[in-house]
Amino acid sequence: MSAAIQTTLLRSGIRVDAVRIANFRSLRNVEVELGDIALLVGMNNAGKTSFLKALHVALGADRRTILPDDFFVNRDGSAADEILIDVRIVPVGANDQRTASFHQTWIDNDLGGRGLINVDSSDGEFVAFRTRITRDAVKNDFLLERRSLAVWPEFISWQQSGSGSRVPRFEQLASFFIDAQRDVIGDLRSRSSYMGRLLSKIEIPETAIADLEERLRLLNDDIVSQSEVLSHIRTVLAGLNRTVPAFGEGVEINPVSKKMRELMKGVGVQFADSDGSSFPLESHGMGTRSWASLLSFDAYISWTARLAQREGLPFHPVLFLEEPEAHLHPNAQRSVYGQLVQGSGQRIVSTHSPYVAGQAELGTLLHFAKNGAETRVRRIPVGDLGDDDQRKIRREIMRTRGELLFASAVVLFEGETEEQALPMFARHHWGQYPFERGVAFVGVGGDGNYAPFLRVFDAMEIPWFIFSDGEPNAQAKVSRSLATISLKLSDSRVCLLPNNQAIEGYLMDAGYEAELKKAVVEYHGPYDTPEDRERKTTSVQEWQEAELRRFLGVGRHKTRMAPHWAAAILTSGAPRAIPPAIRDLLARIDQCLNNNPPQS
Amino acid sequence: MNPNLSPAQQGIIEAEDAHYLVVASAGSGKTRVLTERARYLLEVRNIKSRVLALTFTNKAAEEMRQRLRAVADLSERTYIGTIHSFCQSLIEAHGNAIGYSRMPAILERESDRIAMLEEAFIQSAELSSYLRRHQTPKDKRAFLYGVLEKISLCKRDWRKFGAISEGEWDSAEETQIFLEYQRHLSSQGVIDFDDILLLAYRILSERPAIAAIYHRTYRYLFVDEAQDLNSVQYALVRILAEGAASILLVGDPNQAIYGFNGSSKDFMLEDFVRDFSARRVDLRENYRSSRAVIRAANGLYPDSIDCDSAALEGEFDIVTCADEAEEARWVQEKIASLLAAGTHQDIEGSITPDRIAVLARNRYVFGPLQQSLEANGIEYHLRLPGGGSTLESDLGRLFDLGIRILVNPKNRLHYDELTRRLNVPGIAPTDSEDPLVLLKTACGSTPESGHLVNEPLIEAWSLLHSDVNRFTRALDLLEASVNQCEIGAEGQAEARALALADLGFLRAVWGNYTRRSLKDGRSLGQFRNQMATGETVPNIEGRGVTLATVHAVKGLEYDIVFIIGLVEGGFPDYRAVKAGASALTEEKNDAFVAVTRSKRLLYLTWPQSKFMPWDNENRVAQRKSRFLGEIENGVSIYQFASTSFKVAEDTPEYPRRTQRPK
Repeated sequence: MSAAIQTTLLRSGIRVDAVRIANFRSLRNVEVELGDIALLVGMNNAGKTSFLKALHVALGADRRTILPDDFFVNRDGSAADEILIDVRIVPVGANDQRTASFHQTWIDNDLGGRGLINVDSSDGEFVAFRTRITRDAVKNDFLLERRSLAVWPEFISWQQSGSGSRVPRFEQLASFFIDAQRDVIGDLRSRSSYMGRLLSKIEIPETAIADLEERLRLLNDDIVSQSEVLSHIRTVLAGLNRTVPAFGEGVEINPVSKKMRELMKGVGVQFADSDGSSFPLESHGMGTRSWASLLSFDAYISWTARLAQREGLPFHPVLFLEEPEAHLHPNAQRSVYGQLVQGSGQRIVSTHSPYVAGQAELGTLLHFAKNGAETRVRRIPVGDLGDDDQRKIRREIMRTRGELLFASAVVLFEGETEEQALPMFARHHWGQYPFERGVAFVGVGGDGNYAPFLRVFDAMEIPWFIFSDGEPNAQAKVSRSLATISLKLSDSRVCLLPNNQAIEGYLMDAGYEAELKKAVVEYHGPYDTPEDRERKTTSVQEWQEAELRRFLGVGRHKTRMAPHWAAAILTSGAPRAIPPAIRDLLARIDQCLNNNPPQS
Repeated sequence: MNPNLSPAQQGIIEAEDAHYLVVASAGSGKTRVLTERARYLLEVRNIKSRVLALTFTNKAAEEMRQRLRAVADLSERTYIGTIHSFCQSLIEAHGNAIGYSRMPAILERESDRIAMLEEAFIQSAELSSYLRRHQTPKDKRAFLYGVLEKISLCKRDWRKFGAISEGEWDSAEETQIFLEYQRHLSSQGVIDFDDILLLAYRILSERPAIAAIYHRTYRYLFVDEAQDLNSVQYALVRILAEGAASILLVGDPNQAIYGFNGSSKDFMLEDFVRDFSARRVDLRENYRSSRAVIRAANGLYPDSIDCDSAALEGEFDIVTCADEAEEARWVQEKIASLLAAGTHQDIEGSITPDRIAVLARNRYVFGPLQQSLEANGIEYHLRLPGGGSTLESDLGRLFDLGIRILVNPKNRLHYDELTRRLNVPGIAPTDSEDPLVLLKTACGSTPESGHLVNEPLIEAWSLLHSDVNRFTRALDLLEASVNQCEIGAEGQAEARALALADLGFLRAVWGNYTRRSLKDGRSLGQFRNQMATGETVPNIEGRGVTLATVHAVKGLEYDIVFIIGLVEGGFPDYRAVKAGASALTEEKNDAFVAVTRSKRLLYLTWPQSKFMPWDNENRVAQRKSRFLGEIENGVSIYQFASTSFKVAEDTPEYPRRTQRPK
């Protein structure tokens, strides 16, 4: 997405700023507000692609892209009768803020006439229209109609509002879908691809053609005379002229086509590696090819924009892009967001890459998740957050833990002890690694600031749990953090260790003295001889309870001890293998995940 | 510059962006000026903004769209429609701005409005007493109509509407009625036709932000027939035109429907000129008919059309031909040369076959011409009254009536017509359900054999009744009998020729029917129905030159018209000649209609002799139609320059021509 080209683009002056969808696949009833960039994150099958497709259909995609499966399936197994997709378009000014009225060029083109433009109660202009898709039982096909909406009502009653005159396909508001399977090789061959469309438009001024063709002729002569074989062929074939005088002008050997028109058909694209040798695209890896495909799209868009500008026409491309990170290595993925920001028009992008999401502005993130069979979409209320909070969220989550945005549940705790031990118990409990269930265990750091995490997870409705020591100062930290999202310690998602205890103290209280002593022995290993181990075991066995507690409380032992006692406890057999407090936490997670079973 | 436009017209079409009032008389091409300016703005100036063109009738809007259909993206770049339809779309799109969450239903039928008004009266204790004063249903109805008219008048005049809505109306009684009616409408969520404009005006005036959208959308505003604007309509035009780049109103004060429904030419002539500092341009020239055509028409009925204001000369010629083959050849060659030339100084645009019509009194005159056109590859179609099923000879009509009775014996209408045509009034119809008995009764009771062919008709019908597939045999029988009829007396030869032509036509129709049906599936009813809908009639639909009988082109106009077969007994028809008096007057009116179907070029032809179908050895001499004579005489009265006639020199192969006028 070359900066040189971008500078020539005008701002389009409009934005598709709100979308409401009913009954499109898992999108039973959602509303999404859009900026110039929207980054759709969430687990697989959460409805991200459905959203892209629905909006693409509403903005003019072919009716034939609709499938029977696109209708939401009700709980009783019946499919919904109709799909509704409402879209609102608003004028935006130079600062990307909504303005009162559309630019004249939009009124002169797609948006004028037919009473499409309406005003809200504060006289702000907007265009809204509804795409309604129904089944045509007779033709075994779908009916799609777009009608203008005079009002943009509250979300609660949006499906009831009536609709007005027919809305034709927009010419200057164009929507483009680039799916995850893109490959520039296919693009180059297909005339319907963006690259193909551009290559079919190569135009060379008439005046230049004669000159170029003369140079081609000379080049051909040169090549032939430099090549012994070609010269030989020419000489021998020239014999034809003597025997068949009608043969014509003579024999021509053309290593390069001598007609410009012919030459244009075979335009190839080669990429040079940094070592200077160039390869055809076929020889490059999928990452390069996928990314080249995006770049060719960008070439198409900027070319189209340039033509529109030349004609004095407005142009607003809306790009739907699946997984821009496909096949790219992590560092390249990190730069994807920066490239997206430079593009023109609106870019609605789904991603599974924590690297891409991690670079994003908080306000551009849309979190998709399933609530039962339905998708719900949430975003971070950036406007409600102070700069400090935003910075913390960016630092604590986005830059380093972007993967949390794709988690099915997150367990928060203060320290590294838990970070070591909890996943081990979880794995034992589930019989699989926690990440396989989409559950993340995250230490928020020693200062116990849960707030930025809670903010994000609360806004995005990512299920979260806090597992905290019961000491008064730890409780206070949890309490303060909860207050930022108006919750109390008594929330069922908060697991406090009882009796004001830290984890080790709790384990002592819970009767795991033997296992802890075993862990201390392992902690001091490895041992050179079985006798050494035996000696240590005997000595630890003689420790008084107070001595053991003191040892476990020493900072430098604490964290490194954790995997040892966890392993010791896990080997202690059934009912004791998971301490009750941890079992309680895992049970709560189970309850939550059973309500929202992770998608395979 | 378009050579077919006058400098005055061209001046308005290409005028700079400003506001104009074009005052123009009938036929001066004012709608054309409006259309051409729209085309000029959209195609030549390539304006970015849209054009709003308001008319008074759907027909006018449709015509404008038709004329502009070559403009790319016309429907995108213009709104062409009636003021009412525009306002309706405005309410549909923005009604919520004044509290209409959905488009209210419109009471279009007067009977619905009457019913609504009556309900309003009945449901109000006070008003119901007014209604009770009118005793009979008829009185009551007349009263309600009167009230409705008054209400309508108030809604078409701001002053009155304001007064009666604000309670400043003279009559408290009328005020109450008006308000009660309005309340009743709104309680039912409906509006009447007049309310459409009032509501649209409310939206634009109460929500300037919405008006602003329209101002920015339509910067060019046209109003056709502006002499018919009433005060509410003018107010709408004014609020829509705020800040417009260019407004164009065209109208003809002389065509104003004076005072009716509150319209006044003053809105255009005075208010518009004052409010928008509009420049007035007058167009006086008449472009409807050329002087040549007007002169010919005036030859039939002197001074029926004003010739002085006609702007175009046009062409007129009377061509005398040796026989109908030569007549057909002359017409075909003339058409070919016009099409080859492609243009004519007095015809706007290019000459295409659809702008040419050849007219005749009956369809059989076209036979030789059809052959000639086909031989020369000129596309044509027949335009005949009644879907082409109408038969023109007495015999043909009788035969067809009999077929209808065979199809449906209960059809008393056709039975009565049959007896009337057989000239045997007062036959008591038998009770028989058998159509043949009916037909025999009608024919057999004829006192004398005044009709040529009653016996063969019965025989033909009997054949059809037994087996529809014997249709050809039935036609053979009839043809044989026709050929035995005498042709000595006046009109008998014409009668025989017409009858033979009808039989030939029926043969062709039967041929088409049999080609598209299976033998076992045929029925007389199906045959008759397909003939009636024109399905099986040859050349009935299509493009190309129109070949039409005079009765099929009433109300239509063509740039170029030929009228052929202008001989005594042909046009006028021999039966009219025989009947005389009013029948002849009717023929003359038909001739006038035929002549005035032409807008620019007119050619009248007649053959001096004809071959009869039964004798291709001897020509039968023909006499020139009396109407040709009248036209020639009428034309000579005017003494116009001889250049107004194209004459024989350029077509020497047709030596016998009419005298050139002085």
